[in-house]
Amino acid sequence: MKILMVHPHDLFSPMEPWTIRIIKLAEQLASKGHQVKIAYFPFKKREKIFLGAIQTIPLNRLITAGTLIKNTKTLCTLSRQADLVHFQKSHFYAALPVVLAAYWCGKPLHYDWDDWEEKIFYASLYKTTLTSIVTGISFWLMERCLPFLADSVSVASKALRTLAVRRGANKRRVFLAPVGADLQQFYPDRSSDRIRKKYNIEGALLILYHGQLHSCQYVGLFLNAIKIILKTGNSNHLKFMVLGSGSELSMLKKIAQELKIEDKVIFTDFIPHTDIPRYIATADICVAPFDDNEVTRCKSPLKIVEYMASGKPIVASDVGEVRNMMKGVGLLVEPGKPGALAKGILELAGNKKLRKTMAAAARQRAEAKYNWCFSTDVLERAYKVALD
Amino acid sequence: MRKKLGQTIFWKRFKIAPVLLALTLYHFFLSMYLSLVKQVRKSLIFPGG
Repeated sequence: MKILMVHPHDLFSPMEPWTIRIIKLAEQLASKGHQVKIAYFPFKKREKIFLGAIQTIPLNRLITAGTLIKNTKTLCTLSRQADLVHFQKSHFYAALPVVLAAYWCGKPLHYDWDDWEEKIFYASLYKTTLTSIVTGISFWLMERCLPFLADSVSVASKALRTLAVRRGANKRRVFLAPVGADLQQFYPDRSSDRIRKKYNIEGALLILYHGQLHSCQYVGLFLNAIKIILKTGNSNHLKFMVLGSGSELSMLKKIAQELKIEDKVIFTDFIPHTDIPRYIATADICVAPFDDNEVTRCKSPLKIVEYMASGKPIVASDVGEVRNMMKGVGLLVEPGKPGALAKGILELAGNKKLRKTMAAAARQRAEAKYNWCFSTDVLERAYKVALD
Repeated sequence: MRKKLGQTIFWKRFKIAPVLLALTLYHFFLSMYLSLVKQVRKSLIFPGG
């Protein structure tokens, strides 16, 4: 099958790491014999290049009425060559041209809804302006209409499935496709010596947080939990690592200083995704803290599946899809409470046997369900329904 | 076969043309507005996961 995939972000920019889902799904589809092209919106001018077997086509990200028309025309040309059009996310400068192009060319349209973008947009705002209001309305409009405009929908969580059905999608045309881990990239028993040596943490029990340090990531909960753990007094052997970068990194470093925990926490800053498996392999316990809100109830966090595939014991907040992912293979704690997170970390830190059992169970769960091959199988079923 | 599928989809979708038209008009004017707002042109980043 010839598939045209469309994504609103820059596939090659470290500033936008949320393109992993579309790239991994495209790679899996290509490995199954499909012909895949990805049209995307780069920050700067880029050439058409091949990413393995996938052809990438840069479109114009400058937001003007003219580029909206021009991008629609380009997507019409690409849609004519495809059997099905797949797009991810509801950013209007990508979603609207792709819907118009697929409709104009009479091609089946698949919508991959992986985050509640409207809520993330509002949570990311520092102040309300006219621009933010009209853009917020745009996110609401798109996410209100896209579920019924598409011929099939894949969602990353059960909460999004409910929302899609409520917003007009046919129940039989909505498929649950959670995030996955690359099982060849993330696996247990990797050597961790080099990274332990680099950060001078040989012999310490390392507790790791991995993720983007933008808004809606809740690393503050982890820092506050560290403060509580250090107060207990039996934490000399513990070290803590925040792996990743983002707009909130400097603010988080400042919080660590205010909490007087900066000598116990390592901030790695930006690490390429190809190096992440080695860092996760270094950890003894991995954490994924969240608040309980509309954004987190809809999330399918990539960090959790990567921890699971790496065979790590996990402490995570009991919210939304995290519950379904981790039930029975990790420690779930009350969301939004640093005290509960600290208690969970200490419980695992003091019980080696439990860590080992959970690590093995987590890897098994990733192999059974939370990998890109599984998600692609779901996607193929959704495509079949869209073509029907 | 593919042509027939395309025609069926086209006419099925024709029924929801008013929704598409409203969406297009809103975003056409939104694009014009955003292109006038300097900070959006500068950053070109939309927050979102």
